[in-house]
Amino acid sequence: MTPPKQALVVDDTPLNSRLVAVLLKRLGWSSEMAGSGEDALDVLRQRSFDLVLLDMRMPGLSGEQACRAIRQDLGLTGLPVVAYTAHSTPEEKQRMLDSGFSGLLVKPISFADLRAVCEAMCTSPSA
Amino acid sequence: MHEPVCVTRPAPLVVPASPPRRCWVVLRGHDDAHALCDALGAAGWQVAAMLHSLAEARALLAASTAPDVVVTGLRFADGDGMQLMRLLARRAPGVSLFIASREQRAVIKAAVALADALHLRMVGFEEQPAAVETIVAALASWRPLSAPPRRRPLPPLDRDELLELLDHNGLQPWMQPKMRLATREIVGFEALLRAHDAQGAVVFPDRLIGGLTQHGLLDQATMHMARETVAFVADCLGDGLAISASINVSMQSLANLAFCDELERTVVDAGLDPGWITIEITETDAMADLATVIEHTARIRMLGFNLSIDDFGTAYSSFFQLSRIPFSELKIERAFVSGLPANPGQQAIVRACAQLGASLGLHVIAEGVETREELAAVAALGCTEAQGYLVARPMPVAQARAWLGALPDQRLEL
Repeated sequence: MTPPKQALVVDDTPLNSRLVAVLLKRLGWSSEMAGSGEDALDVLRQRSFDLVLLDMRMPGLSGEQACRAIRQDLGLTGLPVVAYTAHSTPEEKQRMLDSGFSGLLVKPISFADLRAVCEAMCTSPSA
Repeated sequence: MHEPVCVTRPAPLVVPASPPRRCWVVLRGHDDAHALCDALGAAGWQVAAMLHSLAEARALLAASTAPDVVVTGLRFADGDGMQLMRLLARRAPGVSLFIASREQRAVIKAAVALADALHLRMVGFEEQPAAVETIVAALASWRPLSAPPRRRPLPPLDRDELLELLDHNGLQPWMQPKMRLATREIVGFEALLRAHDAQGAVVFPDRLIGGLTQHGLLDQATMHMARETVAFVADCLGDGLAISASINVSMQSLANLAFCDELERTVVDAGLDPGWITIEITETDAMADLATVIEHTARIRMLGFNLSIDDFGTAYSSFFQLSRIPFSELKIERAFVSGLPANPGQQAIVRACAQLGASLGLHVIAEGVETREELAAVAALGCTEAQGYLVARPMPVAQARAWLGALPDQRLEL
């Protein structure tokens, strides 16, 4: 039996993290939580994940800064990093994708949104 | 709006039971009028008058009892059918109307819309006044309205009653779900203001909002709704149900910085990401001074809330204004959704709204969806979500929570 895929959920709002963990579990994934971008970088230095879900709106390192650090400082260029973002215009969404994110989840998310992102990230060439 | 049926196929003539039903025929063309009067008389109608001008109709209305039904054209030598309709609405508001006119379909439909706006009862319309059998067949289905029970509208709650409700948490959000059309998931609820009066009857916003505004209690009531709604969402999220909710907020409340601060504190205290909460403002509110609206809505978005324009299409917002205000959602007014499948004009409007919303990156919600046909239509026209009785009626919080919890994967099969 293949082990479950692992996601790192980076969000400073415990309710969000808990919800995403529950939804990921329903998809057969396991998850670990980080409460800030800095914490996420520490965790990623120690172990690997199949997917990172990164809230864009956090105190300390912003989502964009954390994503840049994941790509540049940690060298994890192939790791799927999905932005968990507030409503954005089409231009903002494109800018996020251009800045290194592999995908976007727009708040408020649904189970189907999360499933679609997880499936897309697992089947994409970079996953 | 009720759209009358355009009868195209003759049906057998039906002789009505007594007492005879009275009608007037008001047609400019004498031949058409004579033929129709003969056919109506043969079908059992008492044709009380055959008229050819607006002046004749005006004089007769002043001098005699109005008929049950007026069959009218739209063009007279001395005026038009729209003038006659205004006259009827003033002098004989209970009269029913049948339009027989060779005018363009768009003109006839506008006249039908005018009848609706004037609260005149439409029987139907026919584009060929000479098609007397068709007209007679359509009129055969006319029945007098049974007198509606005389109900006195309930009075708005007074200041003391409103304070009593506020002091004892008597105002309640009733939750009406929103369904995402692509996945059939219930993704959110709109919190609608309800209360119970001293007799236990449900009180609707029409008896509440005016008084709350007049007595300076609207912010307090809105904040109560916000707290209850935030608690509902936090409860759902904690149980693994991905649910957002929207609350209706007036521009007057948004202009109050203390109100915005308290709104923010409410979500923070509940441990909730404000992205799960949408602030709905009406299109009329969005039409206020642009600088003021932008300032207050931008602040709400900065705090992380979503922003929705409610009842879109009912006021006169410009595309310019829509593009300047940081909305995340557009809700299409129910009047455009009701009867949508049979109305190409409404379909064009809904499609345009959906395309506009999509190009601005907005969620587009069709309000007032009540039938499967309307649901299919709003989906086909590009709306992203639907709200209305077909999905569910508004319900108290506990009932909404149980209803949601019973859905597999939050999906509603319709």
